[in-house]
Amino acid sequence: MADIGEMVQTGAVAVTDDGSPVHDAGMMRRALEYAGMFGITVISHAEDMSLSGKGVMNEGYESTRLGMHGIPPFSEEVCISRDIILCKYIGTPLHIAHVSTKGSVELIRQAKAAGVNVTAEATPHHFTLTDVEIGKEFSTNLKMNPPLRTQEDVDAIIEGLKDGTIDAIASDHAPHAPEEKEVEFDQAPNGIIGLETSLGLVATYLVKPGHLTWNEVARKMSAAPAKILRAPGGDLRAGAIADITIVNPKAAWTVKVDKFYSKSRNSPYDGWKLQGKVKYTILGGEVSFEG
Amino acid sequence: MTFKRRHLLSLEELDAAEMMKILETSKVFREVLDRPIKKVAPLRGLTVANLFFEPSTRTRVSFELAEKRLSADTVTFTAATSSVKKGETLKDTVRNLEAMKIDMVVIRHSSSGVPYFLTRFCSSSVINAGDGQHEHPTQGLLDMYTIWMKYKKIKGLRVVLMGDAKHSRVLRSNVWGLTKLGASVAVCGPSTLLPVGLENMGVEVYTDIDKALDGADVVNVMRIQLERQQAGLLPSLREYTSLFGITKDRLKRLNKNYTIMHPGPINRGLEMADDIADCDQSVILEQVTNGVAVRMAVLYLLAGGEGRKTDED
Repeated sequence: MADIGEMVQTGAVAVTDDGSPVHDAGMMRRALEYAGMFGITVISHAEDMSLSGKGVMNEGYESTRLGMHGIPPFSEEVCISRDIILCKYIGTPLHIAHVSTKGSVELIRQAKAAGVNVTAEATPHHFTLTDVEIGKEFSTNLKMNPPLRTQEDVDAIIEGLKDGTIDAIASDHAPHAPEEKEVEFDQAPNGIIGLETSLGLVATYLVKPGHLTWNEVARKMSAAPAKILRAPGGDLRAGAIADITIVNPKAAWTVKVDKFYSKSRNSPYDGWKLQGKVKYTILGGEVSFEG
Repeated sequence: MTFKRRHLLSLEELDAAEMMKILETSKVFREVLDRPIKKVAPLRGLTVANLFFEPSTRTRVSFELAEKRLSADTVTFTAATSSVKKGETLKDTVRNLEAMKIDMVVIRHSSSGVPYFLTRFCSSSVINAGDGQHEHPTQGLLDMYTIWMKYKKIKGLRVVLMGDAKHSRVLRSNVWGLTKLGASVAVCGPSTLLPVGLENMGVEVYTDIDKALDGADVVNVMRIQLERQQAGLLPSLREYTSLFGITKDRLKRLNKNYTIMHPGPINRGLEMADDIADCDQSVILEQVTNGVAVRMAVLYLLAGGEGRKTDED
């Protein structure tokens, strides 16, 4: 275990195993117990590596067709079940990162109904893309972990966002240099950049079709993350910290990766037409970005 | 029909007419192989690079012979002698070779999708000689050609693909090719080697070999890799042979004029009994001969076929 106590003393608001899941249930138990002493949330990258194996995409018809090693949905679900059960006994707040499957949404929904202290997030790519895209040109900008799943999973994630099972939307921003991604699919690193497309995707694919209201978006992208991390921010009132994003919900724009502020270009959304754009980002009362 | 493609990446993306065009063209080149002088000139002046990033003897030699018999200049690059180990990316390796002015690239690679990746930055024609567990389109075509030559048809035949469906690129190419040409295809193997959703590829799926073989015309037996046992996918190779090995006794369930095929290399005594490989119904060596003709046809058609432009025109 890492020196969680000293990290909390120097400002850490949560701990996570993101990218390198805790295989050993006994270790996860100790991490939850120890983190609980400081009242911080444990963020779980729920994945059983013995089930994921050499997987590079969702296991299903598409991985069969493309001859790719698959990551089954139950690799995520087995681990979420384990963590929910541990959380039920230990009580330390548990947050499930980047939920990607229908079964995961159902497990979290049931756990919340049973009063388990669990929250969850989803990424824009898991409610806007499916594994069907991969075979079109084997683009490594469609390779991430958890992998893109099926339309059924996408629908379940949107449903989970609507009914509150999924509390937050997180970008899972993962920059990689072009030369790292311009390689064989199974050799490429996981992850895409999400920061500059998150809001536009949420506006276009969740607000526009009527799945979420702007108030709910503010909660899922600001208030809920702040609450899960017990960090300041996420509310608008006199005396509160002035970290504010101002959005033009009507602004139509086309994603152009070579116009990104980020140095990385690893986004699958190049050329997508989106509606909804950040106008200003205010950080501590100062305008830090003007779009 | 005229064949318009520049690349051969998979059989999934070809339609029945395109595949028949390749098979019919193969027939012409198959005849060339029986001549005392086995050489024709349609690829004169073209350079073909064979990039083999995975060990292969049969496919590599087959492509090399096909190219030489079409009078192409050839260069073969294998992973053991490559610069890949020095940390150069695949993209840089291929672009450097292309800078030496080559016209066609034949690629074998252990990663699925690599031939597609190459088409994004190559100006040459790309031919997939086996990519990971995805496809091996020329093997699929030569298997289809061999069946077509024996039965004079493919439509309506019952073909059983035996073995490791999960890891076999040959199986995937066979499935797409045979089903598009109207064969009824069954896949049989242990449940741990049957990938999810296989039945959605238009095949019947069996775990009982006797049921699978019942009334079939052709059995194409896939190689079992010895490491499947270590990976926990099979309890033992001995048990695989007892449950799924092809024996004389099991062949009684097939139609009278049956055919035994294997893409090679064979594990004698594992996926098929020793005497089966050499029996009268085995066309395993014909497959190898036909492979050269089919690859000649593919190279010829991708180079433009009869319509190929040369300076002499």
